[in-house]
Amino acid sequence: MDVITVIVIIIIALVAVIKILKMAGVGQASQNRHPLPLSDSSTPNNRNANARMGRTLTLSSSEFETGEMVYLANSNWPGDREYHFNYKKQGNAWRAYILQMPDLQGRSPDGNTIHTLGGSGARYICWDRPVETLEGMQAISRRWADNVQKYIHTGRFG
Amino acid sequence: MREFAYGTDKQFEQLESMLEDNLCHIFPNCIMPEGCNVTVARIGFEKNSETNGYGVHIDKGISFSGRRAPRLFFQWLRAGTVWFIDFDDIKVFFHSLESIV
Repeated sequence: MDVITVIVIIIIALVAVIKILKMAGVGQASQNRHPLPLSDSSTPNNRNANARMGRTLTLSSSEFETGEMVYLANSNWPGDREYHFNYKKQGNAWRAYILQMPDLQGRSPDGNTIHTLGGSGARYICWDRPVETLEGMQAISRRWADNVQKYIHTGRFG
Repeated sequence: MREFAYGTDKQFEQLESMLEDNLCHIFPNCIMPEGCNVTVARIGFEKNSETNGYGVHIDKGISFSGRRAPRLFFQWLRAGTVWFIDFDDIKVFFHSLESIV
């Protein structure tokens, strides 16, 4: 075995040792960050994991949707308070499409009353101006859901 | 899963802080409620800064035939993931499972 071969083997071995040491270091740090019982190491939050489990979908530079997201409205009244939204950006504005909401218990579902727009199967929250940020639309949808809860139990929206 | 169903406010605050690193934090060997077709499963949590959402993941393929459980629990098992807008709703969700764990 000549000198060059030996040097190459040594370099490969050193690289392998360095990688092993790095992995051990990451594991140690993860454990130190996890004071809760039964905690385990973290895995990178990558797009493949999201595609398998989550729902972050970039459609184009001007279109984006979050996928189904859940909000549990205020608990001032008993019963169902679960709201599911899909937030979609079209152009410069966001919309909150209503995927699931509690039964209105006989209250009118009229869009003018509960501030929704769109046809059956694709209703979204009505707002008086374009909402340019996702955070803004999410805040509006929380307030809308809380108001729907009040409407269901009192007949008054807002 | 009992540790989450009976998790304290402080423990959930710690969990919320952990998620600030935008990594998926997996808790293995979570004991599943009686009535599930598996005895243990992995439960994972992550924050998505693009959607401002908090994801709660569980191994796919789990079914539950036990005592009455919240509808969202069945949806969670079926989909393998639920994304919440507010982290506090994760706590509410798990607390709603106290009756089945």
